[in-house]
Amino acid sequence: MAVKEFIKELNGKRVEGEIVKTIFISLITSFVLLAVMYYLRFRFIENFMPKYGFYLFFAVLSYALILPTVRQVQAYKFFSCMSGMMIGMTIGMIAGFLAGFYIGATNGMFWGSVFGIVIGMALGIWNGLTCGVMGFMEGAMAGFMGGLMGAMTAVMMLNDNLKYASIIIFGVCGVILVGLSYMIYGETKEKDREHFADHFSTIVVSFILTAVTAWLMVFGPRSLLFG
Amino acid sequence: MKKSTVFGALSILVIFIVGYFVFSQSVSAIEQKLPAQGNVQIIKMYVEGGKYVLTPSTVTKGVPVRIEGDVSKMPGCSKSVVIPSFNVRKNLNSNDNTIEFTPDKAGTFNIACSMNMYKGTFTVLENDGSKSAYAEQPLAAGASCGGSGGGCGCGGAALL
Repeated sequence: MAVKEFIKELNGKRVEGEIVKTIFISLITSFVLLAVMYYLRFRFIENFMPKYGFYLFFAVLSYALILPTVRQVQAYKFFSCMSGMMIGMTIGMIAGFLAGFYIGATNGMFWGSVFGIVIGMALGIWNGLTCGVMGFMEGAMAGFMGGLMGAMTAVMMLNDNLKYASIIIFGVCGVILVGLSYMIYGETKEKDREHFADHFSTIVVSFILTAVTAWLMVFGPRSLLFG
Repeated sequence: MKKSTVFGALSILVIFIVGYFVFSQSVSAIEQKLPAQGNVQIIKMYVEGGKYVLTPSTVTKGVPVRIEGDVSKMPGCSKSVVIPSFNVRKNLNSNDNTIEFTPDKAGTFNIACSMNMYKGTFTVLENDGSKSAYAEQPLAAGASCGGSGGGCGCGGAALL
């Protein structure tokens, strides 16, 4: 199996051919929502951009990277235990870490951890379930750990190049998610797609994730240290 | 043209446009926030017994404050200073040991390291010199450092 085949399939008729389109739809949904929120409310908040703009921007990019992989997993529905555990672990860990990291950077470790754990476990379990209870367990554990670690890393780096770290972490997570997509493609090359869906779910999930993240960052509770 | 190429190019374009807007807004806002020069209240700061010592520990509201840290007496993560009430977060070092902000409210406020291990307080007086009754809620205890300073397990070396 060659990477070239995978790249070629990005323009194919399988679900891999929808990955880039899903990224685009997620980005547009989130940015349109943020633009509306900015116009109606956020622009009246003092120092909104320096305080939240950077992290919101990367949170949106992160969701746009996670959701296509989720769509790819859901399209095949069933995986072997080994693959399903890997899927649950990777998605749970990455989703939990990134969500926890961005909220941790603006709201403190407790709320970052809570948000990261919720997002990580929800996505980890949902996708891990494609292989049964082992994937469920793996997704739950990875989401839990990722959420805690993301928030902790953000708080520990608060005054130590946190923004540069955000870019590096986002890049590394992107590479891991591309690797996961490639692995799923390799595992399912001989299988037919089991679940067909339009992009409505991508729009809904992007909308919810972005809205909750923005609300938490700007109006949500935060640790005393974050004022 | 292939569909993924089109969507890929559009995605990059959207990211670039939004990114440019976000970063340009952030920079202009930071530039506007620089405190005025001239009448500045100077505070000397160092760490003793696991606590920040600020001399003087009282300033006046509305007048820019410059905190000058003695980094030789600030071990580990104590160089990473946070004043939540005035949205101040800065990592001090020997080349840049000052923190500047303008207190816009009166009362007693917390100062802590970013790991919430080293703590202290300072007071901002009203413009007429009277003391406000407001006192910020004390910060909860930190995780692992203890008060002796220096040998904590909170990644002090990484923050140097």
